[in-house]
Amino acid sequence: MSSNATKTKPAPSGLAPKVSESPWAQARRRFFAGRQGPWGLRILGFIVLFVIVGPFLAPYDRFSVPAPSEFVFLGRPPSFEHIFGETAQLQLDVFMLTVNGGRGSLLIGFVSAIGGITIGTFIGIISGYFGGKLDGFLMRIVDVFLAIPSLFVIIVGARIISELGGTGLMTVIIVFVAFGWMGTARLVRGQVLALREMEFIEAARALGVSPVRIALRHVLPNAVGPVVVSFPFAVGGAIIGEAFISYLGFGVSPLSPTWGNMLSNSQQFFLQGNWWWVGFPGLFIVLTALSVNMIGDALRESLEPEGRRA
Amino acid sequence: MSKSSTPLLTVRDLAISFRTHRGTLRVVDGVSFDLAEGECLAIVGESGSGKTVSAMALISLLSRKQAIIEGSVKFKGRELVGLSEEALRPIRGGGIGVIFQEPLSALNPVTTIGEQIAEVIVAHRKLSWKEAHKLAIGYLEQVEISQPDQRAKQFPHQLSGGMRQRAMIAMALSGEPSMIIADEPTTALDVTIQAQVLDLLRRTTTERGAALLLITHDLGVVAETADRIAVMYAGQIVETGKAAQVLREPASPYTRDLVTSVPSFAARGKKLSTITGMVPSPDAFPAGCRFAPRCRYAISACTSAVPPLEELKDGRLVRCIRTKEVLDGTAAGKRTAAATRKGSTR
Amino acid sequence: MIKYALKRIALGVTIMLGSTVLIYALLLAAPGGPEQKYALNPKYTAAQKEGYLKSLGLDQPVPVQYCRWLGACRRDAEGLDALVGPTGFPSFLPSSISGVYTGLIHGELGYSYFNGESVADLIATAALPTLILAGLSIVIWLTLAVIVGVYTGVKSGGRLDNSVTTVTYVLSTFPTFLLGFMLMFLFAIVLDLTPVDGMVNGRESPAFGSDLYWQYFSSSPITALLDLAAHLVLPVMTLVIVSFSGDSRYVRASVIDSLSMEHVRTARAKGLTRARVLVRHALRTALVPFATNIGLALPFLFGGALITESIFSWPGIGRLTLQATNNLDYPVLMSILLIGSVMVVIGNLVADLLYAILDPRVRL
Repeated sequence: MSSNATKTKPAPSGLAPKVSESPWAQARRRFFAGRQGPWGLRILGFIVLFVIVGPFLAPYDRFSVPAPSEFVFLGRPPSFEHIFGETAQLQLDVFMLTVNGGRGSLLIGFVSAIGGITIGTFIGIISGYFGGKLDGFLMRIVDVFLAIPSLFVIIVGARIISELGGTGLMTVIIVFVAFGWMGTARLVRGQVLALREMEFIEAARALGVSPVRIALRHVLPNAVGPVVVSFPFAVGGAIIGEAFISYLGFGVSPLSPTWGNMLSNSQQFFLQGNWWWVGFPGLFIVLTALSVNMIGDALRESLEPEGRRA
Repeated sequence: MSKSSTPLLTVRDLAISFRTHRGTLRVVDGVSFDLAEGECLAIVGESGSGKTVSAMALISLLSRKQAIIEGSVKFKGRELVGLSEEALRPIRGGGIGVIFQEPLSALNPVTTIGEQIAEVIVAHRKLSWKEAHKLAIGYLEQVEISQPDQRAKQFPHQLSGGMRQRAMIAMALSGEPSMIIADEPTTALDVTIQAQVLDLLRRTTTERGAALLLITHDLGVVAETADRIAVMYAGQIVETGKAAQVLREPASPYTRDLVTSVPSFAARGKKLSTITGMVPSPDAFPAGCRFAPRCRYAISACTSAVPPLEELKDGRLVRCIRTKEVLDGTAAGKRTAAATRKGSTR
Repeated sequence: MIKYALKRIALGVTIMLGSTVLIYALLLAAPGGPEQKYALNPKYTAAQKEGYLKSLGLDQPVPVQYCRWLGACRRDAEGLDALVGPTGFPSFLPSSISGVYTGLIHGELGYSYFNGESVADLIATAALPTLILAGLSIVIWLTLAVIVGVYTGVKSGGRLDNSVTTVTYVLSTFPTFLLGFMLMFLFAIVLDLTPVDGMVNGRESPAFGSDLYWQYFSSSPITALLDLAAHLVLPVMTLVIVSFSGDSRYVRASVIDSLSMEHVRTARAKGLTRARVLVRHALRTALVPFATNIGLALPFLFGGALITESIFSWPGIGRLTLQATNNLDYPVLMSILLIGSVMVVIGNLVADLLYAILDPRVRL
């Protein structure tokens, strides 16, 4: 039944042509099309840049102490020489402290997040994919950990670690990772459980694809969505968590500065008038938290668009 | 069934466009039809033809932010296009009722069936809640749901698919509307239940003298229930007329292909006839007749301009410049078929 | 329904016990603790220090200490004998049967290693301030979250929605303690509108909760209440701002989602009033997930105000926890953690039950 019609060209309808995209490309387009994501990236990028390049910009060593003739107990406020002002007591340069503190805090944030998520994903996949007794056992452990209010756990964990003598960055990272993998594990396990029943996995099995290949090539890429979304939030959470336990005195020792322990050292002088020692690390913490949240939300919306009705 | 000269519903040049992130897209174009009191008009078309969108646009159920509706829709002489939500409210449910395709998502999952019916009554008929609940049970009875008083206290997920759809019918009837729009009411149901529900729908509307606007892609449904048919393709109406006539002697190529593509017992042993190609999507409508790329009667004139909807001698409307050839072709086909039958009895 | 609840409770109890084991192991694995008070003090001989430890029962191996804390072992016996009470029945049975009165099972929470007070008393004294602070905050922030969330959800896309959403977004990412500081600085120092911290004005009223305080309260209730209210302003504001901004966005998303659902379209098609469509159909389904937030606010009552309490020197459970952590005061810590876990489990259960009540599809 052949048609003797001539082929007609589509009428110009004033719309951009549709190009077929992979889900990743789609997500990327959506991410950069919005405002949140790119701005979050810009802010975070600025902070990272600041932290890396900072030391080369300022002429001061962070341990340098001014001459006795310039002694001001509360520290001098921001000026041309000390852009962020000076601390109280030792009158160290707050700019340098903030930069170095940033390195510490960001390091803790990213490494904890990566560590926690990697372990969590690994356990989640094993638990979800192989199921059975292994799954039950692992999930009971997760439940037990999660039943304890997390603040308590972190504080106690940090206290113990500090007791054991290590108060450096590494130990804080270890505490965060040790108590932070559970959320991701549960999340990933849930994804894997749902995916396992999906028809394309059945189809792969029916075609004789090996379980390992199914796990890596089919399950993992599809399960990874929520994990990617949770990554920025994990970074933010770790940075704020570190700030908090340092504020309480359980975190990193002041010898290696982080934004958190800057806050803990400076708070007593805050009410006396030295607002810059608290203000600048505080500002950076807020900006980091904000940017990281923006990135996370933008990721979530671009990977799982809300309420799209075809 | 009283026949008055003015139709209940008059639709003229209804056009619907959507605002998308890629621009404004015109999805439905120049749709015109009439619906007389008490009659059943079926709007037939494939998915994507724009039939559901058109029906929803009649009472402005589309998102006001995304959809632009142009043209005229007159219900009982009153213009509906451009009315505010508040002005439309008494008409929705009270003048025009709606039945949706998938009752499980269309019904409120956390409210009882009885309450969902009662609220229509309370909204449109100024009765108390107690009376409304009693009436609701009555409507459930009318749609042949057993133990209606118990069912009224249940939630949608506790009913079977067929019962849910009956409940939807009861809900639509409870406003005592003059017409009901039924959007693919049986598509989501089991084949065995489809016939029952359809039959129920037709009976209850006929009993009340209410008109029925039936949206469907199923020609079998149409043949059974409709008085008149309007065929839609790619956002336009291509043919309207009495059901029996359109189905037996289609005047437009699309309708003809549609009808012949339904597998029939008489054509047993012959190759299944299909329509080559695919329905164009709204962002790529061809210039000229939209069916031309797939049409075997097409000539070059078909692609230069959109054919207008023209009236034939017998009152039918067709959007095609090759109608004569189509009708001749059908007649010829019948002669051949008759000849073959005569020949094959050997 | 009852079976479901019971099953969940049983599961919850096992999880809780598991977590207590975990915490106990962690705490005791760490060096340092009560003996630190005297460790470097030359006035005490080694024998005296050992005696001190022994009196606290810290010379026993960890499983034994846990067992004693739990109440399945007697304190005044050693080895396997401890498993059986003076009456001859196993120790873990109720007091009247086993004759054992110590340990968690028998309702005894122990005594603080730090100051020797009864843990139960310490917790009880600290509980009221926390309840007041957290309770008030929860009520305010939940109400605000629903109001703002629904309003911005319904009017989504409008200018008001955009500005409110931006503000709540920034606020929700704000770390609590920074906000607390800022508010403290702004209102207490710069504007001098509210007291800086604490629960009561130390110069005029006795410490909250003490007997003297209640006498003071009954003699001049209005002054005492005003004083309390003035001190509540900052901590409540801090808690409310951070929590409500997050929750209101959640509600907003829920409302937007629910407004696009098909059954809302059906409600419109039925010609119901705008109000009814909104409340009975859209909101009814939108607020169901929010019910879980209410359930999860419960554990917050107990320990979530930790950060705020420490900033504002609020004499509640949070501050108690911090002190106990600093001193590695196990009995106090364990009890707090245990009660905290109980609240988490109960909170989860309440959330699940609320959900089942609100959404008939979930009922078992």
